[in-house]
Formats: sequence, structure tokens, C-alpha cells
Amino acid sequence: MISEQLVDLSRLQFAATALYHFLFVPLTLGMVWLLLIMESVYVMTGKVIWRDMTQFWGKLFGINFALGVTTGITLEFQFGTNWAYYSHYVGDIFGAPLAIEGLMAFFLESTLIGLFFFGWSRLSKPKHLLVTMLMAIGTNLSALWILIANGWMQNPVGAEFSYQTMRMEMIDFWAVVFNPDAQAKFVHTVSAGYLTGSMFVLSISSWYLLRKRDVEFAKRSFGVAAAFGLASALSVIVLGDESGYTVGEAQQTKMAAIEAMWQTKPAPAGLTLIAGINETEQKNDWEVEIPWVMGLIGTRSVTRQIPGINDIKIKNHERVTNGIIAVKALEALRQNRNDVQALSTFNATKADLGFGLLLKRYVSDMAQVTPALIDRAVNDTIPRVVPMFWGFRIMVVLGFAMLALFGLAFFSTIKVAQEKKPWLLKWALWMLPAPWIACELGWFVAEYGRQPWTIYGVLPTHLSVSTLSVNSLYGSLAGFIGFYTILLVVEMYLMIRFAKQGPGSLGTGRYAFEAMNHEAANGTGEKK
Amino acid sequence: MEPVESKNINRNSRRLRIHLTVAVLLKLAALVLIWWFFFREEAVDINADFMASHLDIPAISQGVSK
Repeated sequence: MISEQLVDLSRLQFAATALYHFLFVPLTLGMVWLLLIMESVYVMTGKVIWRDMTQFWGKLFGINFALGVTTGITLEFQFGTNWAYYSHYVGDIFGAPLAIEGLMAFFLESTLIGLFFFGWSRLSKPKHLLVTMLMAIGTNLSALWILIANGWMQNPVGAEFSYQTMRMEMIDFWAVVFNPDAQAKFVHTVSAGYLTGSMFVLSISSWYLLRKRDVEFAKRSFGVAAAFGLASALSVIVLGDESGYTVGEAQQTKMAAIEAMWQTKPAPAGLTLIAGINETEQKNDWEVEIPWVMGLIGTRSVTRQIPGINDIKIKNHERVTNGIIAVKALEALRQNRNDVQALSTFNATKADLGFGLLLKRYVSDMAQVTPALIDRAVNDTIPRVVPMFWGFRIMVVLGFAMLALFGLAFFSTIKVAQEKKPWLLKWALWMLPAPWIACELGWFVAEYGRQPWTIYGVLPTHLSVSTLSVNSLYGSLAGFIGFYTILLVVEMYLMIRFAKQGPGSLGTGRYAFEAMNHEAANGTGEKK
Repeated sequence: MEPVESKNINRNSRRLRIHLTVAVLLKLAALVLIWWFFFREEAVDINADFMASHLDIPAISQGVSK
């Protein structure tokens, strides 16, 4: 049996590197569209301030991209190094979108980003704009494929298990591509990225306005970020609702945990705003609920019920019991592939094979399974409720706070009154970390909520890990944490340095702090 | 674009470009070092029989047909 320590360390390493990677990704996804908007205005109007905006924000985008690139490679390599059994089991399906994502990210996206930075003096205005447009599309397409891969982990469609190769095999590529979970996840995630890019530009522009420097530059940047951010915030919330619907369809356990819904409620279920969760007794000591809302989000109807955790456990008990039969039939088939009876039994029960495999955490031989062990496996199918419940709510509160901020910022832009509302500018400045916190929490809810599975209902996490030594995992984890901490410090240093310099860092002679920048460019140090 | 402006942009950008290139190279070196020290010797050989053994399921007795 696999050591629990090995499983926990492997999960911790993947979580740490994935969460770190996603500090960079949303900013890239969002900034690229803001650059496209700014450059489009430049090409249409010929006003040089819009080119300066594209180049200055493009510089910050470039710093983020350069420091973020290769943090994704770590994740892809970890599928081989730390999750070798996972890669074998589902590589036939998971590998295809992952490979396309790699090609998109490393070739299309990187090439176009290179053209964006080095093409200003080499390409005509329309051609450079075309490059920026393709860069935006390429960046988002790259996200599409990784989210198709992740969507399949949440809702494994278009594949079936082969007892001969001991792996899942793809039977319908298009079902994988058009997986509703993947589509909902893609639009929700990229919208969150757009929101992050908008918040970044809005916050830094607000800081310039508060300090009354580069005012025309900052007002225009503020306006673009406010408009794009408002649209993005609305889309994140609407698409998040859609994501909730698909989660409700495919992963009822995750939905029940997010809602701390222990019992099935009469339809349409109410949305629990806050609750005092008692996991030991599996109940909520108190709760504040809005009637109907959860039923409408989760089922799009007023008559269909959303199952509670206790009913899901009853259903999962049947699936674990059925899964034991599937594992035994698989064992018989592996010993004699001409065993017709075993094949027939296996085909009838293989949908629950993953649930049977949950017991391998406790026992090697299925003949030794006891009712108590089945109960433990059933309990394992429910993720911890408290982190799911509060992680989701903090994300949602931040989402609505950002919607309010962008709404007011957009309104003040229409009224050309950005500078007259210092409270709004300060609010925008202090909200800078909000989209990152929301994005990380969103991923936490999606991934932690899928536990105990790497592939929902198919492959338990504890069977997915490579049999590495614990010392290797401790060492590499320390290496990643140290290395990534240094990278983060460098990123913050460069971002703050260039944000402080502002458009003056372009050296055009049109902005504040030019003298400082010239000294910096000449290597004579900064002065304030 | 004015020549002086272009010169300033180039100077400032060159410095940033060097910083970023060094950062990317150091990142790649760090990743190689982590792999070299912690994963190089730990390669996991995977095929159907290894997978079966990992799941405590017997290896196929009459050969694997693909």
C-alpha cells in the first residue's frame, strides 16, 4: 500500500507549484486584451499616448510573462516525476490536450510575444496590431487546452477503461473537447484573468492619480481598465453561476460540500450564506439562508432536488460495493482473459471500478474488505466541508466587491471625475491583491473539492502518485519553495520598480521622472 | 520615432532585457538542478503490469494484447 506521507507530500508539492504558477497566468490572460484595446485605439487615432500606454503596460506584461514562464513546465514535468501512475492510467486522454497546450504556450504564444516586443520598429502599425491580436488569441487558446485537460479530471467523459492495458482509453475526442465542465471552467477562468489584468492596471493608474503624476496617461489607463474590468466582473459572476450548474450536474459531492448541505432539502433548495458548520456531528449548528437560490443555480429548475451529503454517501456506498465486484472481476480477467463470466461482470460494474479502488488505501486483498472499511471508503468520498464552504464564500465576496469597484470606476470615468474621488482611487489601490486571492481560492475549491480523486470517480489520488522516496519529496519541495520565493521577490522588485517609474521608463521625454529613468538607464542609480 | 527617444528606449529596455534573460536562464538551471538531485535516480518504469502491480492486481497470465 502507498504511504500516506508520500501522497500528502506529492499533493503539497503539486499544490504549491500550481498555486504559484497561477500567480502569473491570470495577469497574462487579462493584460494581453488590455494591450490590444490600447493599441487598437493608437492605430485608429494615431495618438502617441496610446502607443506609450501599450508599451508601458506591455513592459509590465513582459516582466510577468518572463518570470512566469517555466513555472508551468514544472507542473507538466511533475505529471511524469511525481504522478507517473496517473500519467499511465489517463495519459491517453490527458496527454493530448496537455501536448496541444504545450505547443500553444511555447511556440505560438512565445513567438507572438517576441514579435510584440521586438516588432515595434520593424512592423507597420496594422501588422503590429495583428501580432498583438494573435498574441491575445494564442494566450487564451493555450489556457483553453489546459482547462480541457483539467475539465476532464473533473468530469471524465469520452473515455473507458481497458483491462488489457490497465489504463483509460479515449473513445471520443470531441466529447473531451466539448466537455461542459471544461467549457464552463475555461470561460470562468479566462474571465477571472481579464478581471486580474484590469485590476492591475486600475490599481496602478489610481496610484498615479493619487500622486497627481502622468495624469492624462493614468486617466486613460484607468478608463480602459474600468470598462474592461466591469465587463469581466459581470462575466466572471455570470459564468461562475454556469460553472456552478455544471458542477451540480457532474460533481454533486463538491456542490454539497461547498454548500455544507448535509441533508437533501426540498426543491428548490436555499443558498446558505453563512453557517456554523459542525463536521463532527455532520450538521450546521446555525445558518443564514436565501430561499430558492441554490436550487436555481444548481439545477435551473424549481422542482429538481440537489442531493445532500448524507444521501450522496448512501449512493456512494452502493458504488463502493459495486466497485469491489468490479475489482474482483478485473483480478479474474488479469489471471485469465478468456474468463467470459468475469468479463461480463466487469463490463456490468466497471463504471464503479474507481470506487472499489478507494479501498486499496486500506487493504490489498479485496477478500479482506469489511463493512467498516467500506464505511471508511465512503467517508473518504466527501471532501472536508469547512475549507470548501469558506473558500468559496471568500472568493464570491471578493468577486462582488470587485464588481462594485469596477462599476463605480466606470461611472466616474464616464463623468470624467476619476481624480475627484480619492476614496475610490484608494479603494482601487488596496484591492490590488483581491483577484489573485479569488483566483487561488477558486482553484483550491475546484481541486480540493475533487478529493479523494485525481480523476473524479475513476482514479483515487493515493493510487496516482509515483513511488518516490519521501526524502526526495522533502528535498525537492524545499528546493521549489526556496527557488519560487526568490523568483517572487525578483518579480515584485521589478514590477514595483517599473510601476514606480511609470511611463517615464519609456524614455520618451513626455512623462514624469524622466531624469530618474535616464540615470537608471545609464546605470547611475535611482533617485527620488 | 525620434532618434534620441529611440536611444533612451533602447538603453532602458536593454537593461530590463538582460535582467529577464538572466532570470529565465537561472530558472532553467534551478529546475535542472532540482531534477538532477531529487528525481534523476527515481524514474518510475510504467507499463500495464507495473500499473496492475501498483493496484495490487495480478499481472496478466496470457500476455497483453493491444
